[in-house]
Amino acid sequence: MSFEEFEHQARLYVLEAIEEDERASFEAARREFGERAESMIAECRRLSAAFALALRPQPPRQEAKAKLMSLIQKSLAEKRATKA
Amino acid sequence: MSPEPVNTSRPSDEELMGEVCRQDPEALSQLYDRYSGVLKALIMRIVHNEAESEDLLQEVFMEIWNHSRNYVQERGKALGWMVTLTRRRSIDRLRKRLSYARVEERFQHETEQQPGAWNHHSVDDDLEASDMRAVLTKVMERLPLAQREAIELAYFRGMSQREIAAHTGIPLGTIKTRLELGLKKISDGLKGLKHEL
Repeated sequence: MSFEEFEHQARLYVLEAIEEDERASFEAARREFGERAESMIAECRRLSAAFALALRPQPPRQEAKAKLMSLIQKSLAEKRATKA
Repeated sequence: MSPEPVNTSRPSDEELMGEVCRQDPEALSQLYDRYSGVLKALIMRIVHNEAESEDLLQEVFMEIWNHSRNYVQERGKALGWMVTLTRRRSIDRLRKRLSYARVEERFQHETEQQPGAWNHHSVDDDLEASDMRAVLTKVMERLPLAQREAIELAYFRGMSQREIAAHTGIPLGTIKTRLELGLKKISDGLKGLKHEL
């Protein structure tokens, strides 16, 4: 697999659209290209974030954050109690 | 002697993730303030249900809180990790849903009304759009419709190339080419945004 082909596969890989039968050759090329491949994959992950950032943000309801933070505090208290 | 410069810059996402890893609720609160709107928009685009979106958003942030150690900075930015997590959970939920057929109907309806998920707002009309979002939207909108549709099915529906081909009735080779060309164009278009993403 050429690096250009790997680049394309890497874009599909981060979108989880790669086919199962292509995965083995992708993983082999990933090992072969080493650091260069990992940088390419990290670069491709930006694609995934970009798709989300291109959407108009939809802020959740105010109460949603309060509920989440209360769950977080509860989980923290439980962890502390387990340690104590 | 001049006073020590005060660092007033806000913490990066990666620094906040580090703090979340050390179980600091304030860091998670800041990540929530930064990205809950973006992540909820992504969830909504996938599951098409307001109540379910809020529920999933909470699950995602709980997962960020409980599994922040899985984030490895060397593999990419924190936002990319959060988006991947959110997308995965949303697609899992979509697949599990009993009312899948209704989503199908809604998706079909929205595609007919406004082809292209990124066409939901016009950059010119949206005075509040950030520069980055404006650039991203333009990049997406410049894609030929056929390429954009293939990418949307992969990204928002979690379909593999074969599934897209089966769903659209278009040959697999054509779908592969559309994805290849479309994703390459988007990657090239994002090069100017290297530091923001």
